[in-house]
Amino acid sequence: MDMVTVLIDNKSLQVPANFTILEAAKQADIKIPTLCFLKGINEIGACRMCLVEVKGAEGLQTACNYRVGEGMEILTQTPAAREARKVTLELILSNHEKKCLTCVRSTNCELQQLAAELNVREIPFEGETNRYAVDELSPSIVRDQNKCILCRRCANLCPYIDVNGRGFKTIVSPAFQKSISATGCVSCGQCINACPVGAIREKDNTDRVWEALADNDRYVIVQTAPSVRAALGEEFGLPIGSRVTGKMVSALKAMGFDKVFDTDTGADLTIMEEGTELINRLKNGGKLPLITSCCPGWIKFCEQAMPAFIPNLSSCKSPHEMFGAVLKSYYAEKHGIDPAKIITVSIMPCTAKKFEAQRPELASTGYPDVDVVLTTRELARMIKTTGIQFTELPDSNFDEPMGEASGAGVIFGATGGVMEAALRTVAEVLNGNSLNQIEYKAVRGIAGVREVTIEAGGMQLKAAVVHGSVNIKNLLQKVQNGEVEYHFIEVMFCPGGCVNGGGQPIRSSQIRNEIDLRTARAGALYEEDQDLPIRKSHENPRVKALYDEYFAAPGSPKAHKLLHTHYVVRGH
Amino acid sequence: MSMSNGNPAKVDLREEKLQQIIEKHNTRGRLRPILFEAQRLYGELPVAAHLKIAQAVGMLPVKLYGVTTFSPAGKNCYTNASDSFQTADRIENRQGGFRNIAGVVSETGYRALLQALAGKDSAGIVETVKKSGLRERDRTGEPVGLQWERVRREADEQKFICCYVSENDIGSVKDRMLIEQNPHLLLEAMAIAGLATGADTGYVLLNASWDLAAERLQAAIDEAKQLRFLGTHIDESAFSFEVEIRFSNEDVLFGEKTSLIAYLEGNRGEPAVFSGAMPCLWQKPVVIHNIETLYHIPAILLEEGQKPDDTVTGSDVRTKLFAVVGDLNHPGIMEIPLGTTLREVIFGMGGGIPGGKKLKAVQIGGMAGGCIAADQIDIPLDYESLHQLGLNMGSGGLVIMAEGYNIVAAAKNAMEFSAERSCGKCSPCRIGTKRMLEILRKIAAGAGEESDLTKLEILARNVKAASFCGFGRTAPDFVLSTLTLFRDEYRSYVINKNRNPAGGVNQ
Repeated sequence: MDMVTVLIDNKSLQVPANFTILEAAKQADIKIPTLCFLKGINEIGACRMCLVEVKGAEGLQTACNYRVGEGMEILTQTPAAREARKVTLELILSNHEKKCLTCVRSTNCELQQLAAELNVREIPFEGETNRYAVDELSPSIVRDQNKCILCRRCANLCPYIDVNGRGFKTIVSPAFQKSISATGCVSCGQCINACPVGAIREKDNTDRVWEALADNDRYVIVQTAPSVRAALGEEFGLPIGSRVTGKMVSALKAMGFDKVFDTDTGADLTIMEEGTELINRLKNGGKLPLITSCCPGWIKFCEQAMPAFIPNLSSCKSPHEMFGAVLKSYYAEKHGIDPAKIITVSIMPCTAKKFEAQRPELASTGYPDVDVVLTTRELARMIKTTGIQFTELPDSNFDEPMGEASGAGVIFGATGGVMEAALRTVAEVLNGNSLNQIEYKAVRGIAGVREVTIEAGGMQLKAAVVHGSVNIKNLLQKVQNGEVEYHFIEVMFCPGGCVNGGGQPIRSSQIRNEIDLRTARAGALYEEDQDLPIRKSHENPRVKALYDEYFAAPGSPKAHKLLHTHYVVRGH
Repeated sequence: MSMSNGNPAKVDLREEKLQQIIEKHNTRGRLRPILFEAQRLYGELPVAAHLKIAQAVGMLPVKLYGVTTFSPAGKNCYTNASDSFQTADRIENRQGGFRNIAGVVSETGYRALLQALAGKDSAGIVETVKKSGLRERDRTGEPVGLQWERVRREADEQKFICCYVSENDIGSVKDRMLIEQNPHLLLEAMAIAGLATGADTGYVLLNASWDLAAERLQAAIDEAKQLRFLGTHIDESAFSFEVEIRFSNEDVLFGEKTSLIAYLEGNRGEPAVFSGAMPCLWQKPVVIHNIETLYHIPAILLEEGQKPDDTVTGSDVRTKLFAVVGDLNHPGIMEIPLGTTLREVIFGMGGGIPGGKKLKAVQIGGMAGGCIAADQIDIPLDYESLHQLGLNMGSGGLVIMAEGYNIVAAAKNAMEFSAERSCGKCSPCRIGTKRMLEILRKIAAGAGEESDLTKLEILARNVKAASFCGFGRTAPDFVLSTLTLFRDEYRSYVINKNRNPAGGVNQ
């Protein structure tokens, strides 16, 4: 790459010729404020917070998308630039619903932070404000356009919302200003994580959990998804990638849940069922490729946008739904608890799970498999409400008999994790012996599509991992056209998989522009996998016991009744 | 959104017509022609029509909805004069109506094109245009030759010439006059631009409400094709050039090239950052001019060597059209050689000010243009002189203001215009023009305070400095300049609550 010399605030430095002023300034340790900018997603220069002076150019320029040139002189702190940024911010604030005290994003709001950094102490330009009805119809996502600052990050992420209208009345909304629930929204929640303010948030279900916990008549069981432990600590100031499994369990116990279980056990169960399904399809000429069904965002997307692939979907419920069904059947019977009195709560990195839990077909015992889904963020808020000093908590273990799972269950939270977990089991079953090499590094990482071929049971098993809606669409199109052939595909709707799910802690663009959350959080899961004594789902003694005592074998009629589901073609 | 709620058994004939419209247009950028006809068919487009069109052109419905709602009026439509009243009663429909004179090529027509085809290579034409010093007849005054040079050097097979024929300013009709009077001149100029830069397709972005202009331009295109001045192998040469009309409405920020490109490509007409060194239409290099600029081209080629060029004077010495209005004995559209002083315009061609009143100020550049005081009218009207005063040509509007002219009321009107047309993409223009308007309304209503003047000035300065495109960067010009020149008038409003300090009557 060609290098150019630029002068920023009188510091001379060499930077690649394709750098923006913002990137060059960063290299010179000069911070330029940004608001709408989100690297790789939104680089449109609309908010005008990153204005700087470029010698020779007319007026001020946006550092986020203005390319450097040889000999360019840039001044980031001139009175004109400072005033333009501050007045612009004051204007944005004048049309923002400033209910900061009660806003879910208070203290984690990029607008609030900028107002502090730019020393805004009053809003001098108050005037008419736009007022819109809050859209609360979706089970997962609440959209409050009164707080929207029109940065357009969400619009650039999602095919169902975009800007419409003009001028002061410009708004981001679904087509025809319908509710988001009336669109093809799969509730992935990536819009929430991208929003710099409180204009998009998850539907808060914490009150339902508080109510259940306060009701002595209820037996409240909580389960936590693998990737929650890899991110929950961030809500309490711990570094990205901190593993807080033990503290999380302690907190949940302190909050009064009757039992604290690990969804990873459900993940191990999923591998047993899905692995068996794959082997059956391979041996009996079933529909291939088999496609994973853990991700509720992907499932809804498939049902409405790619229904041709419904026969390819694994009939397995997602891990927490399987686990919920087990709790209300096997566990309830074993412990003599009336399943009607059991409330199952799932702590998930995901907003789409809220939608999934409402599906009528996911109620195998006659009761919903899962009663309430909370996101990682909602759990953090509950913990904060109790006054528990999270970082000071000792470590605890999950409750038995559904506690500890295998490392295979843990890595479900990262893209490629389900595939790796499945291969660990399927390869051994097909080969009929125990394997030492169990790490499949080829399916790890964050490349959009990753492939692996393994030799098992005398055949070449071709598998692929894909994540992110665009990659999914492209890959499956190729499958449909016969350009590529696989036996097994893992699909995760969110980029990076569950560790980067729409229910995970929201990090500001300042952090997201620098650190890849997907990699950093996945690291914690692979670390836990390495530390666990059991790393293959079929070796998990709790899962073995479950089959011995209750289901007889993977794929048995009873397993099918409780652990499997079906799909519907849906329009939107 | 209006939906048909009549008898369900009744078939909506419009659905069938919409299908025909969709099938008829199958060229690149077909969304705009489809929308134009569909909106004339339906008025406001119903949801079902949105979905049908979106599917036909392969666009997300939410994107299309963003496009159809991008209108200053809040709902999308292409207004058309003939839609608004009974056509049978109209004079122009009577026998021998003025429509019949459309589009006849004159004897001197296309001489410059033929000469260029016969005698020059593309570099030679570009060189001639560069030497003429011709500048874009808009706010930027960008040298035309340089634009052509850039596009000529690009290796792409496909390039475009685009011309916008549609003024943004209320009441300004000079573009309309040009296209109605001599549509062939535009076609010739576009073909020359195509020859010089290697483009083979031209788009004329024409104001959709000018149906006479549309009729004449289309007639001219047809005639030119018949006479082989357009189409394949023009005059038996290797050069081919086609021109298509695309209709525009106020969904374009005229003078803002990226907005125009976005519009043609079927997106919201918002400005954007060039991704490369020059504007591109469908990722292909494009030359964009307004009609006034292009009308100089044939003459420049024919008169080569007969007029002084920029190597002598260093500036554009050709004429510029101005729409001169306000307190003037002979207002109208004037073609003025660049460099003419304002004094000559007002007291020469304009015939002076009615009633012998004193001149107060002149607004330059259109609805939101800045003002100069009466004692500055000896400045020459050219790009450089205006630029030095922080002003620009804009759309070529000149408003002559005599004593008694109410500056505050005019400022409020200018801001009404800007706030309504701001596209909403960047925050300073979207919210700033709105806040400026609110303050001006408050002041004009006699409710202003001293602090409002300070706020107004801060806002004006920063909307100008911080906005994304030329629209927002010039929207505060009238307010900024008059706050300096006539601050006492603003103060009179807020201190004495005197709502007409100038003593005039314009509101």
